[in-house]
Amino acid sequence: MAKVTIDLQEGFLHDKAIIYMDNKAVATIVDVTTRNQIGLAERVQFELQNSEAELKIELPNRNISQKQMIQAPSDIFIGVSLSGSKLSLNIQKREFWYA
Amino acid sequence: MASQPKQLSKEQDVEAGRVTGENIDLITQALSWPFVKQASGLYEWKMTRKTHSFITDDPMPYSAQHQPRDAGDEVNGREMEEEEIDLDTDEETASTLLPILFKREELRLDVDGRYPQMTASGSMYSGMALSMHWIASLKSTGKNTWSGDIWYKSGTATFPYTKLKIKATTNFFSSQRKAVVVFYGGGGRARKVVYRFRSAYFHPVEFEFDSVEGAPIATSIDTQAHPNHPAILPGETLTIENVFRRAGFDVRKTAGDQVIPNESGPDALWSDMEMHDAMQIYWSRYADTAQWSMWVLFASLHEMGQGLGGIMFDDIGPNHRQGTAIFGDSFIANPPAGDPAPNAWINRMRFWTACHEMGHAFNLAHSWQKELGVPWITLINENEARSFMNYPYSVAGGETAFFSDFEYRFSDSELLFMRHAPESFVQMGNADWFDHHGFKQANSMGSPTFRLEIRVNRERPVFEFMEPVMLEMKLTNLSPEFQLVAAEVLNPNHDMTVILKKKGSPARQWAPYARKCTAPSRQIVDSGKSIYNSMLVSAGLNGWDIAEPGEYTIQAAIRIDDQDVVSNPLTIRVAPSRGYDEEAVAQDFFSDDVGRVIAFNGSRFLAGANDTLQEITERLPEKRVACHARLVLANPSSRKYKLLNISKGKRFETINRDMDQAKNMLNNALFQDPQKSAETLGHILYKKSVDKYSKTLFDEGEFEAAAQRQEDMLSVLQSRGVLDSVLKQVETTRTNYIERKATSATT
Repeated sequence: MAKVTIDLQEGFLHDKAIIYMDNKAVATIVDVTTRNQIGLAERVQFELQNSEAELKIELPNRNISQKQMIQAPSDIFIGVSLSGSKLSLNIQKREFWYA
Repeated sequence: MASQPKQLSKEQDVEAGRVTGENIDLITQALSWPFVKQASGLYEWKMTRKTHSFITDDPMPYSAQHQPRDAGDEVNGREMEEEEIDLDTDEETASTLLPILFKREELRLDVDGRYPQMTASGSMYSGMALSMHWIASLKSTGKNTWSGDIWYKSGTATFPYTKLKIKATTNFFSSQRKAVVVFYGGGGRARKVVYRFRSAYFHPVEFEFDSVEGAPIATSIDTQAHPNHPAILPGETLTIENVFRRAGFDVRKTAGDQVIPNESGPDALWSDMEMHDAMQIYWSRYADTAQWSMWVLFASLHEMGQGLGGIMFDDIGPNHRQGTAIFGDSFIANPPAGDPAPNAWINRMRFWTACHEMGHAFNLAHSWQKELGVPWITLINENEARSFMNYPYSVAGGETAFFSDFEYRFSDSELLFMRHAPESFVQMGNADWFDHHGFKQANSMGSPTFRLEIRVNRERPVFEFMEPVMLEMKLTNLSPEFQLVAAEVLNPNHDMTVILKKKGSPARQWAPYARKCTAPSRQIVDSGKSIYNSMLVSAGLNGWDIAEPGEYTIQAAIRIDDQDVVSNPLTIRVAPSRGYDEEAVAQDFFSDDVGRVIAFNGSRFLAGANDTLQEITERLPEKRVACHARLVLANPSSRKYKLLNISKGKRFETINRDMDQAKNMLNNALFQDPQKSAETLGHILYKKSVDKYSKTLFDEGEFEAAAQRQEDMLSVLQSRGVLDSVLKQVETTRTNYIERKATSATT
């Protein structure tokens, strides 16, 4: 089973975030705020049962949500940033680096 | 850590102005002559007995500086023309009381040396307090002479100038160096100041480096140790101290270089709390105060693991940005496979991380974050910047591309901020992290046509808990001709931008409950004249922007033709609650409905909000919020009201005025303690409310009462120094009511 690491990165300020995998909520974080000095708010990790799944990130208080199919034959890392009313997802095979 | 070459430390002493005459010979053997002839640096003016006596001899009356200019003014009253400005003498120009108030002034001239920003900035102090800070862009106009426009001002003091000229006198002996500055423009009389050289650096700063036992450190780098570097990069042993000296800081190391025991716990991973504790224990300069001093810890790993190379961990408590940490065994110790010089790669990444985290302590954001936050602290994002504040692995082409043209420096916009922003924004322990991390230049003209001021009509800008914040806006025509502006230019529900910022929180844009769309019309503003309006900024579509006790800064901007007119930043304070009753009522008071009732001056429909406001008048009758509550509760009763009744088949129901109820409330709100009412409502809303009330009385045939209300208002506004033109309006209205009374008595 592949491990998925989701980093909620830039643009969050006291947001509630719900993360779904194949329509099942895997994480709910009630106060997501970016630490601007590293550009990271929260990190969530979970294991994927299948190598492919639908990821959905929802910010219910802002009425924003973003879906994306992800394929994870091995561990993957997903960076999620908020700009205006849009969530952007950046998927890569190595851990995100912060300083 | 590499030791300092002896020559280099002597250069620093000269550069910092610490060299006296007897040491010159030793120094000149090591230095090239042009090195010491730069004009850039810190200069200072201090009030002396001579200066003070010169100023008191000045025949100009205080008020002349601040009165609008009329056509045909005498020479002393007009703006100095450029050709009249004489920079070649040390004779200072006293221009009213300004120099008396500013007992010390600093000038930072940034025109040569390392990474010149062609900028001058100044700070003016009245006693220990900063009264004014300004920043100007410069162009060379001759040898050691520059001129430019002042594009940034912040402070409470009057500083009308919009332009300046500077002439610097350079000399090998620092005591002979000076800068003569003439400030002019903006409708004020020109002012000349002679500043004396103090230092080749703009600010002092102290660094203290400690390391955890066994952790790698990197306080210096051989710039050419790794083959991937810019071709023009000089080969040298570059220290962290020199990086920041080149950024304009007089860097000194405080007692440090300690190796501290690993107190991160059995897992040898550091948490932010553990680092904060270590800072308080081991940093020799630790204090709960703002100071140009920081602590840097070299450790192995953070509890976050390999993915965190370093962090400015100090974002808690009242004094942020005093401590940073570098985790030398994180990803920054893992060179890519096949790298030609892995050890040099690692040292370079550790060195970069150290300067990067220390940059955060100077309140620098990441290169890609400049546009985050709020308008006046925004810069343009610099996603590809070759700056310490950018991630080398995030640019196009990755680290290889980054280091191929990275010169171990900060970007120009970052240097501008570090050198010239108000000290409190940059200094460690002062402004909170990410608060004022940059600023944006409004599209304002060198010689503005208008000046926008926001202010409160009270001696100190302090508001009671729950007291709605009413501001007064004043737009003044600074040009010599009349100007046409939109009739709604000062209507906050129109096209105005208002930014509010609570200390310690991000700024937010105030959004009014309603925006008005009006047919375009214009009004004339004569030369030197002003128009006024008021606005309630406590609440809007974003909720209650001003609620909790604390300090708030407010700034407004309007657009007139192609010019942004930005107001002064106004700082107010909200006092804490005084007891249980206030706390109990506050929970219902700070609701959207109550905000709307106050913003719209009353409502018959929002019954819950009205109940809360009624409770305030009963439980807190002496508080200023009760005055606002009585006013908005009374307003619907004082007029015929149309209410859409959904339950009755969507029909408008007309509710007649209830003057007895309205009179009782309005008399209490406006006249029980008229000084308090005028102060909390603001003069403009107070006058509007009394005018409306007395008009209602007049319509009801109560002419004497209507005239009396105007008389009472006249007395209050006179005592509060309101403009004569306004007082005349009140007198005229009162007279009209009296005459009408007399007329009706005879018919």
